[in-house]
Amino acid sequence: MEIFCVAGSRGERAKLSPVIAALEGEHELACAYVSCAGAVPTWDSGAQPPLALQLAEATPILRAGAVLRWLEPVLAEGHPQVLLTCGSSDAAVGAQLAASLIDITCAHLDAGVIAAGYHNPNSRLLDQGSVFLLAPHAEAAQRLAYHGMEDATCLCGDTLADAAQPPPQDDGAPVPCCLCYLAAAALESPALPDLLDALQALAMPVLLPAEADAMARLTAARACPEGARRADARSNLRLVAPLDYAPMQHAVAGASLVITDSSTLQREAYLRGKLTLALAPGDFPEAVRSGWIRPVAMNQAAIVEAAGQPPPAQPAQVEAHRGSALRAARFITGL
Amino acid sequence: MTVFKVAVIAAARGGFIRAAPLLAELGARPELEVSFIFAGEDYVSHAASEVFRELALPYADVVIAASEGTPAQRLAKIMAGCERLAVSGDLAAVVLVGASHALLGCALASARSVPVVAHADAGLRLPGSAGRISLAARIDRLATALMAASEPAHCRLLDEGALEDSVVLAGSLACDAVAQCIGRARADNCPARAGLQPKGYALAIIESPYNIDRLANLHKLVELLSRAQECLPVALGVNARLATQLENWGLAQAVASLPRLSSVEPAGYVEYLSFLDAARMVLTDVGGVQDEATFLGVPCLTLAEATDRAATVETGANLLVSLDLTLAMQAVEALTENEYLRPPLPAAWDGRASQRIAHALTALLRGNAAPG
Repeated sequence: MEIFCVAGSRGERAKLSPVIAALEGEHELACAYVSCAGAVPTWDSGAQPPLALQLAEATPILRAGAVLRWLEPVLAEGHPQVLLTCGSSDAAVGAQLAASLIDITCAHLDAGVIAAGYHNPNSRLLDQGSVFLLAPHAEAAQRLAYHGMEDATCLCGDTLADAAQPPPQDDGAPVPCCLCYLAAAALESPALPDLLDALQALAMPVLLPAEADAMARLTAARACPEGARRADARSNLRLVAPLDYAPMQHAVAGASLVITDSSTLQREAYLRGKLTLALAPGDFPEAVRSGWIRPVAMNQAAIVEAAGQPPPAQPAQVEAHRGSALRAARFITGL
Repeated sequence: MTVFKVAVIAAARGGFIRAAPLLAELGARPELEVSFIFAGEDYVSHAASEVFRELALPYADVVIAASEGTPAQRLAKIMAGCERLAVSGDLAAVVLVGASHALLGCALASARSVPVVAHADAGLRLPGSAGRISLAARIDRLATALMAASEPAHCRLLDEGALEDSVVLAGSLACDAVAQCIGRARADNCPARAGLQPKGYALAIIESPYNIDRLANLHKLVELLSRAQECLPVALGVNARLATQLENWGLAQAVASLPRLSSVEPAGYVEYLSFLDAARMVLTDVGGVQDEATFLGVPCLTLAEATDRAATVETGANLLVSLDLTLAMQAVEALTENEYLRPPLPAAWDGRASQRIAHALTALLRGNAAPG
């Protein structure tokens, strides 16, 4: 085995997938996918990976520890030349620790990002512990250079651009609709009822995919009437079961507005040229500068106002990121 | 008066030695409630060792021991134990002493819930990427208070983007431990009892797997010891790993037959210091020994291509000779024949690192607790 890839979340899988595709054929690869309790167990409609772990542990450290224990024998047996991690999940941390115990070189995709703030110990540890760092944008590369890691860094671009599949063909005039995906930051916010009020004030249908725990929180936040899974004629909110990766991408492609606290979804939406309201800080500065991502926090008035403004005249600069996965793969191959 | 709970965490012998003066210093401050945490593999044998008695080290208040299972299972257990402590212990600060996977796990487990994660002897780096991804560097990256071991370590931390307010030039805790014990070590005079003349022998302390576990390197090491003992008597500090590998590779007899090489097995830290202090030079690959030798004014030849103890090299107290026989023997001969002019000590190497750490930590905690 030459390269072992670990993804610990839907976003990490999305970012890694095109890199894996670019490496396949040239290298002997193995992959492990880890998901946390309550998350969607299947990543997409495709084949399941050879190694998958469904975590039930309650805390970040216990989750990292479970992955560490799980991967140790796998890495010891295969002894890959490179462990490729991505993002800042507990699974990535556990995998890097397992690799560290048996002296396997680590490379890190999506390095230098601060979606959860660089105070996030996972981000800092994963960057520091990796010999090779693949940065998605100039700010991330500059951040890594600031911390003395310039020599180890490759500015390869955002591989999500390569993961994005072509949107469905337009069959006519687009119908205004909003896709809203809420992750932990929004679901656990005391301002959740205000957010739901803001969504209900939008003059368009709002598709809201939610896992079971999210559904419970939304119901508790009183915005969702009984039988929330069904479309309620009196409400523009459409609560639906969680979407696999591909349907989610189609939902993004079909939406005219995306509202989310997920950093990955903010980036995916930008890379598809969709106006996005960010409920929590992400890490795609160029998209914020361009006006395609509008930081609104959980502020009801800001959400309604930002949703009413037209998108920027300048199109989203997506093309610069195309080929990022190939650049990342070449860098890894160069190791 | 607000009392802050502080946990000092160490995982192995070297950490205990350096934690001892720090625990004493922190414990003397009424505003701190200090606990000593063991987070490692085998607490019982450590606690039974001479080191605890010699350094007046208290027994651990909390033992997070993981002695069974694979390395990953042990590390996961230590991380879980430390997380429980961090979450439930109402800690204002943890101070990590040393650099190991166990301590890295503790740093990670503390980083989310403990306001101050301090690393003593921070900033120690090998040059290049090996240093950047080292355990010490990763612990430093997770820490919010960096107690730099030396001036080069201090500069390195700032170069890596650490905030100036978070870095303190504290000095090496190894110096504090030496200062605490050197009086007894000199009184013990162990070398004389072993038939060694003061300043008339070279002490060899070899522990690096790079030198011990690779046959070619072990051969070079034995050759170097053989050549060195032709210049002056050599006292070889025996450890289990070295003895086993010499036996495994069939080199034990060759070493035992060297006429001016004697094996010494210091029973504890004080006895070891006694041998080190009286040596004319020390040949080593151990970072802590490089610090201790520099502090004692014993010239050090480091049998490695690089060291994370840059301060010892910069002052001239430590020379990197790797396993290069020519280079090493030139140095051995020069130090045997010439008087050694002791270079000045690195900045802040005055045996008061624990005081500086305690002072900085207290100020930091008071500042954190201050309104606004």
